[in-house]
Amino acid sequence: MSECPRCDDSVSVGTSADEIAVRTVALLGNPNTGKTTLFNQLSGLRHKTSNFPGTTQEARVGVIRAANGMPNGADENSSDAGGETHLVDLPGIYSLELDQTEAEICRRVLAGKLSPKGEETREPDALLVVADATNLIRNLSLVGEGLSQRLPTVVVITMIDLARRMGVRVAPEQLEAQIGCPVVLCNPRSGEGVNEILPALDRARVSNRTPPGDRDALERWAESVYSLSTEHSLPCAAGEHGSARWMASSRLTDRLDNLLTHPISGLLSFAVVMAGLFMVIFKLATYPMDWIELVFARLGGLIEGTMPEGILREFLAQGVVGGIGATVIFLPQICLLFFLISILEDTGYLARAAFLMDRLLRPFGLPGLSFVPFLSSHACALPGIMSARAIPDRREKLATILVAPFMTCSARIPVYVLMISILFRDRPIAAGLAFVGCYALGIGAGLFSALIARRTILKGPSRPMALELPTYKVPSLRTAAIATYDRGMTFLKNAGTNILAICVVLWWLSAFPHVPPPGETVMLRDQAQTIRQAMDGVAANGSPVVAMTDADKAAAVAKIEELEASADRAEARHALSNSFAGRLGRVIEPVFRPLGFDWQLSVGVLTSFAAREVFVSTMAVMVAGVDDAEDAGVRDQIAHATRDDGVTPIFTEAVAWSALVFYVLAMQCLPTLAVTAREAGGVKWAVLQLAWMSVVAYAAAWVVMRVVG
Amino acid sequence: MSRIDDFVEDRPESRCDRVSTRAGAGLEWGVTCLIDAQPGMCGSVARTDLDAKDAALLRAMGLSPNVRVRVCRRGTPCILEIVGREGCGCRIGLAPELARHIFLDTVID
Repeated sequence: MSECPRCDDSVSVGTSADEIAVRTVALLGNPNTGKTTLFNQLSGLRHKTSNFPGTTQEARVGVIRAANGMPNGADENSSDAGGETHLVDLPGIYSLELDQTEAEICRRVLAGKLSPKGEETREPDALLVVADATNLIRNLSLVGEGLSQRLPTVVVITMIDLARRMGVRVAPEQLEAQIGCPVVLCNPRSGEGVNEILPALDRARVSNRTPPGDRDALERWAESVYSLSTEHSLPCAAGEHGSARWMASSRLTDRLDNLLTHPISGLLSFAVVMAGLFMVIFKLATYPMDWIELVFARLGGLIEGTMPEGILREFLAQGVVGGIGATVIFLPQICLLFFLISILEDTGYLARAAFLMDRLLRPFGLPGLSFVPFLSSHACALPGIMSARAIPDRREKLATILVAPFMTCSARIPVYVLMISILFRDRPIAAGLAFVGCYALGIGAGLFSALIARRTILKGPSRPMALELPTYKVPSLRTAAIATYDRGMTFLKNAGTNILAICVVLWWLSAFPHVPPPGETVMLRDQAQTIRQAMDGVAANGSPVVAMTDADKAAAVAKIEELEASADRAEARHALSNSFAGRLGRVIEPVFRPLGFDWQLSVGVLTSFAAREVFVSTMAVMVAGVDDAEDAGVRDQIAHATRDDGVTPIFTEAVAWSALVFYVLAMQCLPTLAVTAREAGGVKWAVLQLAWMSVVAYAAAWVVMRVVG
Repeated sequence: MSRIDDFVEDRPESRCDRVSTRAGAGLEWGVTCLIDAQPGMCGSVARTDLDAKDAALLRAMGLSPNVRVRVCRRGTPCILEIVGREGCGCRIGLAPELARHIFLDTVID
């Protein structure tokens, strides 16, 4: 027995009566060892996602309640029954000694100097090290480093099914004897052995072995432990059954790698995969998006129908429900995107695609890993920017974050549809090409901006890419579903806080101050009232009139509806025109005049800072007086709307082009700026992003105005 | 020039079990830069002249001195398989900038 009190076999976690109510277990392991799948198996949906303070590294903390809801029916008689285990998923690393942010985070968490937001900062009660049985020698080096932390430890050996197929059998008792702490064999995908982890954690102890600190000696130690704790049933000589099968699998992997990373076939397959991905996203997401739109419309209607007229009703119906609805409508696209990305990642394809993209992005100073943030940004820049956390080099990560919002997000699409329908009426092929051109312009501007950033403010060498290529496998739907749930919740949390606040402010700007209805409205409503009275058999002066026939009554009802709709439109337009937003629009109009924008378009630019798609509904209110831009009639009204002189159209061909280019390139999303400030580590980056994108958008729109106009 | 079989006898730790040795063929051992290595070529890591950070990362990923490797693909990316015991190991993709700083003891046909 060791002299160190913590090395005493009796020192374990979660067993004694005076044990603390919550124990913290850190989950450490190499990338691609099944660590995340194991985390999901253990905690399911009972986890929260935050980050490690002062870093952009995502932190997931799983809550495991032993007494109620043991994973996969684990032993409820465990001594920890009734207690709660917080499982901290550390970033996947190859060594604790590496000069990397991820390794630094792991070191600090294990030393009790850092913990995920919301967790108490103290040394973990236990360490769970995950090691892949198919690459055990390398994984044992990290196990050795973990044991050196002198924490009660359990080692989980994963991928045992694959290792068995390769003829490798890990003997847990022998391995336990070699490393001095409990060992569990499991297969996180199937759940085999997962039940044994919690009981093993009750027996976790500080190892009485001291692995060497020197890298050479550590690797020799790992080899020695491997030799003494594994049995090999299938010698790996060519021709033997197991080996031959493995070699065949290896040859198949070679062929697939060649196909998927080849400059031509790789790009073609990438194009097919991406086309499929976006087709699925935009086709399938349409249905839930329609449902969400309907639910929020009904909710708004319910509020307007049940609450008494007043500011509170307007605030709830238009500010809160309208604002959140405009954002939440994109949730299906975001969920589908992350589900499919998770599936692609799990198959092993994304690592290959990252190399393929590295070839294309490297000339612009970006790593291949930037392609995932760019891909995500095509749904929404918020999760796109957050996924830049996976880029290890700080300069490359910053460059990716700064240019990600140039990618065409879903919120731009309604604007593209409106402008392109104005420009290419009844010319579907030209409209389609223009649509593709908008995407290409966004990507091109992003890459160009990245190049400039990497040659100026983010100057520095590019780190060449080295990436482990995981084996090709059938993806886990459970892992994809949990990743989707995580991303969806993060998005909803953002929609319920930052975006809601911004929407409320913009609603207030466009709803206040209240002004009396214009004379035109009063006159229209009077006319409607007169017809209504006539239908009731009473003249305007109160004297009886001849009763109407049924046909006359139908015509009168139609006329009343038309007059009231015209009155509503005029009133809404008058209100917006005199609101704070309208006044601001007139103030900033001179700034946008060189782009051909009048004050109404300027108001559209202003309000679309809440969400770009708000531009369309703002224009609908401004020029048509109704908040329903989906109606083709309203689109026509926008297309033919005139300026204050009543003659000059707002959208001449040049202005429509100018506005389209402006919206492709402009940074008009305050939530994105908030996320940029958080992820890049300072408001200055968000300010730079806003300034640069605004300058690029303005300059490009100005040039277009001059060329087309 | 030494025959592959003789070499394998002398340095069993360098043998790549996963590739047929084609005993009797006119083969010799030499040091090859990974960037020039042909797919299917097999050998062990002789030395690297990477910068310290990259060297530490690749070593932690399993690219240790004398570790057996098989070249799966050359170019961008260069893909090699680290061949552990009994066929255990992993596949690593490397940018050419890294591959040109890694040298292998290889069998040359």
